[in-house]
Amino acid sequence: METVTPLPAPERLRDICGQIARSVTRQISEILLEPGLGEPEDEVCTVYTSFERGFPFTLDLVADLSLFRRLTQRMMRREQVSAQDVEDAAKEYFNVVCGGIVAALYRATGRAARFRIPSFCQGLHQPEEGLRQNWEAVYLGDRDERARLVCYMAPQETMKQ
Amino acid sequence: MVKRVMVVDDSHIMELQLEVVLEDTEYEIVAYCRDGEEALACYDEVKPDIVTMDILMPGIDGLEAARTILEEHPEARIVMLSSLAYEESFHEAEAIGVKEFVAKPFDQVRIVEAFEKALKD
Repeated sequence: METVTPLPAPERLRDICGQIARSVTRQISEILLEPGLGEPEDEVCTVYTSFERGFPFTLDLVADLSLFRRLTQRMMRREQVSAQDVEDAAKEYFNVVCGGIVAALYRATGRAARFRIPSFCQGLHQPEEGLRQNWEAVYLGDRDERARLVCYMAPQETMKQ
Repeated sequence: MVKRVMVVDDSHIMELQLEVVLEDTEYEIVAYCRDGEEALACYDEVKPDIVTMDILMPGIDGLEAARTILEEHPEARIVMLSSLAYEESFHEAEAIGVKEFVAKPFDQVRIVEAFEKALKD
């Protein structure tokens, strides 16, 4: 009989996602994110995706537009960037973050998850109906930008954690 | 001699990053495809020395596109360039004949090393 590995507990999942997000951000852009307090307070944007194949959660990164813009400038290696560049860079950045999370979850549980192509919106993303916040982690960029990583999950899935 | 590279990735940011990384190397990007369908249509026309292929793309994913290209062109040199870098993806890519797998984020050393290995086989 196949043994089903449980989903990591919320604290463990938060630690995995947070560590990967900080590490990828530093590698891609040399921007340092440190654990912090408070909410994004500038004009905010959200990049988000849903995980599949045994990991039924949605992950949002809500951050000040200024953080996404700086990330884009570093990724494109130029100062002048358009709104479309910011959207494209945020989606590619989150693609790399989520790939790292999937790899880490595979090492931790043996489950090979996938995730959907990330989406981007100005303002806050409204999660699908029925999903509840599972955990959140707040980060402060090295120029005082704020970012918030939020995990949403269906209530019945949290029972498996 | 310049080696011709075809980039398949739904993010044009990736094409820009590869352009920067491949500056001052013997590799030149000669074609950019946004998805697997475009890659299948483009390969015959471009006949690149190397293809870099993302996995997660709209429509046909990169593994399926690589499989189809290799069925039709067994001589194709395909390097997967993806954030989905874990054992299952490695094994799947290897099983269909992909030469190398580079995890995102990448640097010049890793990319050039992967290209060199892919061309040697």
